[in-house]
Amino acid sequence: MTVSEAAVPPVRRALQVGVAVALSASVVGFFAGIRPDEVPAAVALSRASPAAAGAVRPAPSYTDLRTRPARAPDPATAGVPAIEAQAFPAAPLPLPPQVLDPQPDRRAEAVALRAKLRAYDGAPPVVPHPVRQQGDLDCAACHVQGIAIGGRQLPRISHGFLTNCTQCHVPADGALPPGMASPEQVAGADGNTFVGSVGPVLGQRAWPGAPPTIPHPTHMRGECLSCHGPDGKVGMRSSHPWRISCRQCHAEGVDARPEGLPPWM
Amino acid sequence: MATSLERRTFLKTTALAAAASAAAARGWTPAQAAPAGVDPAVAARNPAGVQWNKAPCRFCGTGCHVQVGVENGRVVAIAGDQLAEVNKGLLCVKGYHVGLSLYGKDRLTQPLLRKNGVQVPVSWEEAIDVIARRIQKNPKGFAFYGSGQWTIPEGYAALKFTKGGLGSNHIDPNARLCMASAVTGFLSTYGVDEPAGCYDDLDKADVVMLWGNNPAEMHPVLFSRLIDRRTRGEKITLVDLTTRRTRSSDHAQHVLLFKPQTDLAVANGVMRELLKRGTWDKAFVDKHVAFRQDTADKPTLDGRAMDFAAFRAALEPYTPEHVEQLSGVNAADIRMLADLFGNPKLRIVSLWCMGMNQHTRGTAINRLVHALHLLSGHFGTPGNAPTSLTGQPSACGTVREVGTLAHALPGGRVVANDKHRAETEAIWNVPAGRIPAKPGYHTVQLWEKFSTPADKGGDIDTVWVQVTNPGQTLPNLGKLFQHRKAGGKFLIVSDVYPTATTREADLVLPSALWVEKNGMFGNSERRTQQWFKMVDPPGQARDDCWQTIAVAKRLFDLGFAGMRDKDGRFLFRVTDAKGAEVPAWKWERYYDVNVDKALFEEYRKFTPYKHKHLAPYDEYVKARGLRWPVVQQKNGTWRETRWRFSRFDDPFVSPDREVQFYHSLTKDDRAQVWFHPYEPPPESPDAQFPLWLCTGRVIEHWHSGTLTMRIPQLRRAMPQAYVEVNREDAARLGIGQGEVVVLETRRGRLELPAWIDGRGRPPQGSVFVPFFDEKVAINQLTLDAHDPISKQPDYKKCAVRLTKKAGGAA
Repeated sequence: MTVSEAAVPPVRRALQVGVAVALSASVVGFFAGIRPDEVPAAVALSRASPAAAGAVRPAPSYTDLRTRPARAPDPATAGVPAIEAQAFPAAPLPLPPQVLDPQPDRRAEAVALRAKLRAYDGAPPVVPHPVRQQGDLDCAACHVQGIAIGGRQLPRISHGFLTNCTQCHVPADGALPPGMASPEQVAGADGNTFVGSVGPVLGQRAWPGAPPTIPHPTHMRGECLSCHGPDGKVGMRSSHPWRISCRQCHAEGVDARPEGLPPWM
Repeated sequence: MATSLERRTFLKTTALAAAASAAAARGWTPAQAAPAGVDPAVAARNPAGVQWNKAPCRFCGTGCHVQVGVENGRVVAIAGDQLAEVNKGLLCVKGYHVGLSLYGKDRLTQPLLRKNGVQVPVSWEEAIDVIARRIQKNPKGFAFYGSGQWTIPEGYAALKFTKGGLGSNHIDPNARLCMASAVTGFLSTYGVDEPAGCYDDLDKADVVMLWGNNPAEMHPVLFSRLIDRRTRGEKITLVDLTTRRTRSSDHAQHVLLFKPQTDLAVANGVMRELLKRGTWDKAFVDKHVAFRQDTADKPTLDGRAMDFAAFRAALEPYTPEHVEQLSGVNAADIRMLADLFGNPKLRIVSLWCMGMNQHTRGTAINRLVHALHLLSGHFGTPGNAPTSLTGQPSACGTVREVGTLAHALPGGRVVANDKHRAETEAIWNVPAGRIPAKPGYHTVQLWEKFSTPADKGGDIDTVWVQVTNPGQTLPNLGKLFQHRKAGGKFLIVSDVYPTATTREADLVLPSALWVEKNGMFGNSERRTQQWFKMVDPPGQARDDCWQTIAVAKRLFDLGFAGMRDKDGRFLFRVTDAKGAEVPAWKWERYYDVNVDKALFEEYRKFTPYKHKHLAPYDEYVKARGLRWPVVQQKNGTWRETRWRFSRFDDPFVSPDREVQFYHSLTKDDRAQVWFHPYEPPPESPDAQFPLWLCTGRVIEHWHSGTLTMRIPQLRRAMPQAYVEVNREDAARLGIGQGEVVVLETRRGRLELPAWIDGRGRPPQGSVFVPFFDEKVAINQLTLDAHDPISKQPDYKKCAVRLTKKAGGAA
């Protein structure tokens, strides 16, 4: 920058500076012009109970949900407040965000929980719930975005969108309807001495405080938020889940090409 | 290596430094960060200690490339190879868990010989000696029974042992039960076996026809390759022609349910419609096609010629309405299929596997699907191909190419041809006349003879089974797997786990499995793949190929003339780089040289005859498989062929031809379009046995479950067999979900839990049972009726009776 500036003749530089100032002024003016003079007062929504069953209940705004005081139970919407309270706590969310506690002491627990569903690190996890035997796209309903509901975390897909889910993921407790399989046949599954490779070690940091490298391959697990987002396991979550361009700061620490492959591969 | 690692570390550190300084600028303090560096406790198990190498998957014929992670002499991880063209980084649930197949706790680890009715441990020396002496006593009563899981060198050694060493043609594989009809279909259409197209067609096709095929479960990686195109915004029309709704049906636009056996009528109906509308490809037919039909008396592989007018007249009865009546497929859907095949702008791929092959008219329906593609000109360009899929990793590479079949010799040769025998004897350097001209027993005959007492014509008294489990997978087990009742028989079984077959064996040999040995496989798209041994087999388990060579050497030492070549040398002589003989028959010396390479280089000499050229062994070491013909270029490199018979890719097509069937049956560069009438199946439901029984596979298990039932994740997911029952049938019979029912055919009886609206959904009047579960051997019920040309039995249809266990017949 400095080198190229020095090479520009003074007259031309003055011209450039002038143009830049004019452009900046017009841009600032435009945005200032479209901004309302002041933020209008929030319109108070009617919270009256619906007159009759089936009446439409006005949707609350996010501001409303965050700031309004706890309400008395509404018989028409019994049960809803509990869910709302869980989803939208009465206390305002901390804004602007601070760095969350990643709870490193719970990492081992999270890794162990993760390993329970996998034969080795990198194996596709088995599904810890029954699955419908036909209708692969059912999986998409919950796992495309991932949700946390009723204390359970349903992780988002860790890879790009693929639709043949049962190609790789089989139900941990069996595909057959409950009670159909004979217990001896199920117990027969416990005769294997395979020991899978362990989960990733922590990423490398250039110095204390530097963002760690990604310690595992990213093939089929490149959607970082699947494990490290707000719905990931405690101990594995990012301290800053609102930043979603992960690889801006975190370099891949493991080659896509595994170590030790013979030279011709 | 060390230098490049240091360089990578340096680059990462530099990148990190830049990123961190940006974070520091925002006031972010290190105090909030996790501890720096690697947790020492975790570092002790750093997966960086894992060494990786390549191998094709051990399971189906797709031929996915897996990367195998090995640590401290054990397989610890598996990954899909991202650079592999076949699977592009993906595997299926079996493939991801293939490494676990080595570690079932009941691996066979020592030879077991039946003495006084009990299998007791014996030494390898004794086991080898017992086999050799048994063979020496009656070489013509010996038969080798293998499979499409033999590696190429293993199959080649077994073939040379039997045909070259014993002068007998009694060698056949389980592939006879699996894809023999596909072979006869290709041979009688193109004059040479195996698909002209390849998997690349799946990336180009506009329409994919599934003929009695459920790739979502059986070839999942190929199925994903197809439907993932939709995720990328491409349009593909999937037509599922099926006798039951499956997971593949879920993704299909058209699910056409047909009555068992009537696929022949459907194919004929579509061809008739093309001729009637004039939408067949006249130019292609004029230049490249001849017409053919069965001989009047007995069906043969070659049949007899017919002219176009006769072909047209023969198809005339198959109006859409008549086909609807026969098959249950709507006349409108027959017309819809004719719309698709009659549109030259669409690119169409047909896929099939067991539905068409395990069929008493298997050769016929294979020919008709080829005929439909040839007649409509959907052939010879990317995205236009009739492509059969295989169920075993080397059904193509070993069985079809090496030729481990009763009638075959390596490289597409047959024993019935004098010239072929002479060429083979010359390469093996054995005396002329060593190989008999008469084919040996095919699978069904072989096991029938082995189950029959010698005095009643059962002239096979010793069978050596390698890499397969006929005690579970033969049809009509009560008839074909009864050697112990016959008396005087001796069954030798090489396997890795106890199976329904080893339990009935007189001698059990523990074998090495997959990456416990060197190997080569050939997949469904003509791709030959190679891998190296990565871990040691457990206990005394040893390579199948070594076992064959060791028995050959013992016979040689006992003075058996067949194991000597014309110069008196051992038939399996292997030499080191200096030309000195290596005693490969001694286990401790077996890996002194690469025996696989030696056998492959010898086998390679056979391959140019049918233009199935293979590259030298070392080329496969460097490659993720190569599709034959692999031809050396002027610059010395080796080039694979993706599309055969088309000038743009196949180096053997004349420069003046677009398409050339250079192995044509009629010697005029034309392919044969066959006519076959619809013929009813040998057994149909009746008053006594009112339902159809179909058998097959599930995604979790591979064939008889010997490997996959020992993989916890797969076994838990699918712990046992069941019978899929239609909801209406269940209601009528008063059967509830999971209730145990009795299944009976004219051949056997079984009890199974009923699954209503389960994995697959059979239409009313039919049931389905998977065959992976050895506790519920469904093949006690199946039919041993087989195709007259391919000799492949029909596991897909017979008549069955379903009864509530408590009583009350269906």
